Amino acid sequence: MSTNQDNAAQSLVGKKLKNGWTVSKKIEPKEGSTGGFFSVCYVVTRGDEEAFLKALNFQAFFQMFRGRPIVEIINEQTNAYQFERDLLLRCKNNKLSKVSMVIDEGEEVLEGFTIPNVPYLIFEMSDGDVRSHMNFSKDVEIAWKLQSLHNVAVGLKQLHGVEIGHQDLKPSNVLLYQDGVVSKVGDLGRSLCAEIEAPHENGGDFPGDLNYAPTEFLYRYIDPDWNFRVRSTDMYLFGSLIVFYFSGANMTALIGKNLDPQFKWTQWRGKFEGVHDYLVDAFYKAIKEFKSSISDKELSDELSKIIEYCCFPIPDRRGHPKAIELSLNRDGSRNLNSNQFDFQRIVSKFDVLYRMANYKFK
Amino acid sequence: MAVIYEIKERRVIPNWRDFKRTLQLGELSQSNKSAEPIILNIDRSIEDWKQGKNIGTAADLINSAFVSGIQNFEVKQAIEFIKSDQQKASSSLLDLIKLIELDSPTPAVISNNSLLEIDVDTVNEFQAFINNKSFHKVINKTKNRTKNELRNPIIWVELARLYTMRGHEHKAENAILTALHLAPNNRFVLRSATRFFIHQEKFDQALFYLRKAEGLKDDPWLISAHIATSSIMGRFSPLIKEGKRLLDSNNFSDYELTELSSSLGTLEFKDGSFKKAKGFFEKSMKMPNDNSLAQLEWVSKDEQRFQINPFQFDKVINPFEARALELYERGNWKDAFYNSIKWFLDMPFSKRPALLGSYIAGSLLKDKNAAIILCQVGLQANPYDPTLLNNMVYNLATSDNQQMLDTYVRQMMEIDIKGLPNESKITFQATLGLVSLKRGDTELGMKMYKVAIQNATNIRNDYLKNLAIANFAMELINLNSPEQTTYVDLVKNMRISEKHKDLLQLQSEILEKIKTQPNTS
Repeated sequence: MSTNQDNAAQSLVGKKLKNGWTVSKKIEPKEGSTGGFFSVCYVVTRGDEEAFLKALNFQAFFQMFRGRPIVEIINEQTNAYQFERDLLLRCKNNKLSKVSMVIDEGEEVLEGFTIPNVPYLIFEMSDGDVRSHMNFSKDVEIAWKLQSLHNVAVGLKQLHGVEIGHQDLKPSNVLLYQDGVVSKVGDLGRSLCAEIEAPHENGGDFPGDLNYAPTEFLYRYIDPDWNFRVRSTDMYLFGSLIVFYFSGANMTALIGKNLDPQFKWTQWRGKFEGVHDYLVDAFYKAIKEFKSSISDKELSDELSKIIEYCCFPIPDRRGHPKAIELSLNRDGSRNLNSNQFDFQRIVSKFDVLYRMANYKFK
Repeated sequence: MAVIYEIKERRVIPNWRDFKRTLQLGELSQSNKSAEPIILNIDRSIEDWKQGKNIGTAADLINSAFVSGIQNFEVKQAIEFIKSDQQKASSSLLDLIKLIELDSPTPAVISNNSLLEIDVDTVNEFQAFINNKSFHKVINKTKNRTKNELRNPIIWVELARLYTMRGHEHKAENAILTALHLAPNNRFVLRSATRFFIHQEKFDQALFYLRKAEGLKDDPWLISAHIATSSIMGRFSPLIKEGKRLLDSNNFSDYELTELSSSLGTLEFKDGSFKKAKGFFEKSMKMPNDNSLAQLEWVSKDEQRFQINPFQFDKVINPFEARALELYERGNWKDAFYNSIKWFLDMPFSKRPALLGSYIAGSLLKDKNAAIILCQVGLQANPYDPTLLNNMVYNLATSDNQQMLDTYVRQMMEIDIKGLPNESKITFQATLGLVSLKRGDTELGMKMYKVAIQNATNIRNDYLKNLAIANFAMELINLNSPEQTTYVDLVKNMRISEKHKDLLQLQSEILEKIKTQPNTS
């Protein structure tokens, strides 16, 4: 018997699930989307409604990590699944409109298989991630890009409102809906939550894709303040996303491009404190480069300001300048009630920018 | 009379260059292995690219490849994908591709051991550079950059340097203090600030900012700066022991230790410990930079047991100071002069290259115009430096430039001579004597020269005494004064050290000139 034949997760086609869902067909991941190795994806229907089902593939655990203790593997993956499910339900219960929504969840038991249990999550059906919609030519689809970024900013604000930090915001995790009109933040698999312990939390190490990480993580700098670290990371990642939308390069790459090779994270053998001033110098060169990718000077200046305070290489100086002033107590310690990384300003600004662009470029 | 302002003691004071050149010289590198570089992974980006090839996933993969430094078949595929439809790509993305394809960036080639912001081959080119009105545009451009990059300490240091080059002390100080506020622990900022404060003779401030820097005790460059600055103030740095610890730690490259070794060697030399000094200097010369090379060149003048040929160190970048001094000692005036110019271009706020160059040009090469040019540019960064003004007045007086002479004499007279070292007082007296002679006030001029000679005798400075006598004799010959006989005889009978080749040349010129003069008897 082949592994596929003995794999319950691969055998859901035709099954009727709870709440009226019917599994229509197995699908390969959408263009640009990421299903993950431990998941099998299906289209499910309920009446006229179509959705995306992600099934946890226990069989893959054995295939991928031969030699590791099976108990460790199962524990690791099930914890990850449970964490993501709990976060998604938290989002659903709080009606986060710009976060990719889980519609339903459950567990199907298929008799006759060695491992009959198949936990699953059902999501809104997306059009794919934002990368499939990208065009980095100068001044192309500006209004759409601004609207998308506005949606993402709203999504991040909503997540922060329920004590969740996304921690892995990148183009592949921005999902498109309604024929690309609406963007939502997706994939909370690497997120952190103040109230739910994450299985992947490891002493403050960057949980997301290091190739998009804020530069301090690349030099192994970890701010001990959890809340500060998590929120400042999301702010950097959002600013980096802006840069990617308009230039095709993320901010980390642009900083690296403008940094002397001896200071690059793949070469530097010192501490973050020994290099961050050179990162600042490279950062400002990157900002200047970014500005040249947009012809509209007013828009260029506005976006540059946002990027500057979102992506400033030194975390303590990241965030809106006025908020930073208020974020310090008289004795220099951090004010725990600071809104240094509040996305409201950004949401409002992008709303204005989108409307102006819509008016100007239509 | 013109002088070269021989400093009594040279210390290994940090050189202050622009950020770009400082980087290229390797003075900001760190080989202390306190951490391993991070290792990255691009599997996720590759998988995404395989599952859906579009410009977005291609860009994603290219970004990941650049950030991680990883290249493979899929990365090349993505690059080709982007290149096939460049209209959809941005210039930034295409630049990343170019960098990836370079694989290992070629280090910038530094030709002829010269790394200058601008290089010149002739005095005329030098003059054109100095008179370039676009310099103000450079200042303005940099100032605008500070407005756009308020939190960039590097650009504030650059602005401070530009202001210093133009003698705008207050503006320069504001800029350097801003940089120190933004980056109080940064090596480039601290070394630049140290040099700035030493330039302003605010040694205590230099020490203050060095002392409060985190990581000071683990940075050989900063410890060296602290030792040198303390030495200027006549103090022993409390970091001498720490410096020796770093030398023995095996955690640094020879290049990183060169200035520290040189500083420690200088201290031992000053204390009379030749053996210890020799050991430190030998360590310093394993991989010298221009600063440590010049330091040993200076030491070797006073200690014959330190024999050094700066031309043997063919890997040292910008060795102009050491070479200028060496060539001057050898009596090769022309090459010494050109190295002085390059030294000045390398350190355009420093007065020492301007002094050496102007002395060589005016007194030895008889190129008054070049001497005047060098004095002018030196005075731009050091507007009221008494020695530069002295040299300027001397060269103007000996070239009969009356209009400019009046201007600079007025500036010279504004200097409080009482506060000057004795040597400077003597040169002032001699130069003012020369001015009086040129203006026809023969009696006053002769009197002042005689006073200068007597004062040099009183302080037992034979070099200054002989220099004053020689200059006076030359002027007496020009005036066809009856007293020339007395002073020509003094010149004839001078006992001049072989190392003072400038005096030997002046002696020779005077004796030659007297031969061609009609007999006055």
